[in-house]
Amino acid sequence: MTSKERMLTAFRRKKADRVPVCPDISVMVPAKRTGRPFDELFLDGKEHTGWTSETYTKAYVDTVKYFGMDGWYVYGGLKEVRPEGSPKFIETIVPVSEGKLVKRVCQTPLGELKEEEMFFGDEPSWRDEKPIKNLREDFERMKYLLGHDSWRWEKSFKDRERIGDYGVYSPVVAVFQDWWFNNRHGGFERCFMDFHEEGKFLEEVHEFWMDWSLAYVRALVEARPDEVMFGGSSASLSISSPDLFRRFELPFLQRASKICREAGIISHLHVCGRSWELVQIVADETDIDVMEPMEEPPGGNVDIAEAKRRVGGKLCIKGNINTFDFMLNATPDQVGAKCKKLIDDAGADGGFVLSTGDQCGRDTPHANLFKMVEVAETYGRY
Amino acid sequence: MDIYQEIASNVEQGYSEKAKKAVERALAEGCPPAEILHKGLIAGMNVVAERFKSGHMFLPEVLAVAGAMKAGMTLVKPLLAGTKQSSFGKVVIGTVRGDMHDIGKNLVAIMLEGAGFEVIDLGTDVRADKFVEAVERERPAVVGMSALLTTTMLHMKGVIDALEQKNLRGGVKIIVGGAPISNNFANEIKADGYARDAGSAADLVRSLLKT
Repeated sequence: MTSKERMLTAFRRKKADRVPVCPDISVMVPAKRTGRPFDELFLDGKEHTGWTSETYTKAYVDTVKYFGMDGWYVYGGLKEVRPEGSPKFIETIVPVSEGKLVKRVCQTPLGELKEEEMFFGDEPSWRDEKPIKNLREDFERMKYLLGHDSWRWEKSFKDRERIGDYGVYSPVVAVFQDWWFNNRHGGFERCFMDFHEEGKFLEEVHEFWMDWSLAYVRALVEARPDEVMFGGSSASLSISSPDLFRRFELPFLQRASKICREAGIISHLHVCGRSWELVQIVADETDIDVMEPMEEPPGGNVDIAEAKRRVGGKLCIKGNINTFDFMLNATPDQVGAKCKKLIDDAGADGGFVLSTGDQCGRDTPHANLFKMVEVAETYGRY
Repeated sequence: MDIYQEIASNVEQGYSEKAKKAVERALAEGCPPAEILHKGLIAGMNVVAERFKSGHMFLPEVLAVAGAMKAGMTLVKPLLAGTKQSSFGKVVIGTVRGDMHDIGKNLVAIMLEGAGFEVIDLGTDVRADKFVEAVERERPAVVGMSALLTTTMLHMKGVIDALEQKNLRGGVKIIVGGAPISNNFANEIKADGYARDAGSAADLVRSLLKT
């Protein structure tokens, strides 16, 4: 089987030739392997639709080949087709001592939206300023940026062949809380206080966002990717709550996963950190096919064996090895032992992808990633 | 339900306006501000801290509770200024140099304030000399450092060294936390304590200061 076939077979909860192995190496492991400053890598000046940059995505695919792992390409998407003269962000890149500061300004008929993002040479980028500062005024401006209706996208993915048979092509649609956190200025306290103090207004925002997002999901499905991924770190229960998930994520996930199911496209939910309280809800109340990264403590709270027992008949499980402590500090032998236990606990009858929690750190030892692949190729044979 | 229980209950449920009104009524009835603080506001927050620590409460709910606590505190704090009851101690807190992550650090600040400590928040990307300046200026009982990245956590040692060079280390307890931090790492860099989450941070500070 090719990596793509292996992953898709597992996503359909069937047995592949072996357990697929797909540690979440995005984005620091491939970035470090290039040996280039990260700001140069992510600000390459080339057109790219989706997360990161063209140069980075090539580095990701190179890294998949280097480790011999099964790839999971979550960096692509469809380019939006906007009427001539529609408001958009214009970027200015300012070199500063730590890297490069990207200033973005969007002129709308109701005034200006501004954001700033700092790109470092050796760390992930950081957004210092986000566009929605004054809740109501700036959201009205955002509507001009997003377009009020009649949204259209191109019909095909330009970078689909980059991953080819080395893995699955999985465009991402951010869930509502992630979208809000990416656009609302003032940090997570401000975002959550919006939900608490401005609940009714946030429901209006949510309704607008959902129309736009579902239109994008339909466009994605028509372009036939291998799967569609929904998610974002901000819906994690490490910072959010089951109540907010039910109010703002579940209605979208139900409709979006149904669109995918009816079109025969696999849908995939990413909720990193603490997520156990959501697993049963997702299995019982949506048409989602794959859930990951189902993280173990200390970052998360998922018992993978219990998850397999409870929802293995409904969800493919991908995960759950801790990245920020275990993958960084364990020996290859310890990694090997943990991988074997995970295969024992969750690998039976397919529907399992041997993987880590969210984003392996920049300095994750390569020997630990190679060990995961070795265990999948030997111990993970069906 | 007595007035202190009413304040605590409103704090627990994150009802800012109701908590504020209950504090106003307690003050009007002549209740001592220190008792309002301890038996009402902090008592309510303590229940929440336990529920959060045990995983039965989530961050957005804690933020609402912190808002209710602050609403009450704005009335009580001026009346306690200069008294022994104004705070259990001062904590200077910040995310270390090169690290912009603030969620964990902010949450620790909320839990510490809720537990009755005065928190001086230096923000994110804080250099060692800024920690030193803050210790010289504020004379805190505790310095708390946070890091989310394996590269930036190494700067924690630099802060401790800088405090030692200025002969300030002996006067403060140092606590560290953040996703990549462990008890072993805290011991290696000679910190006084490590807290794995925000709920435990308040317990740790209490135990270090034996309040």
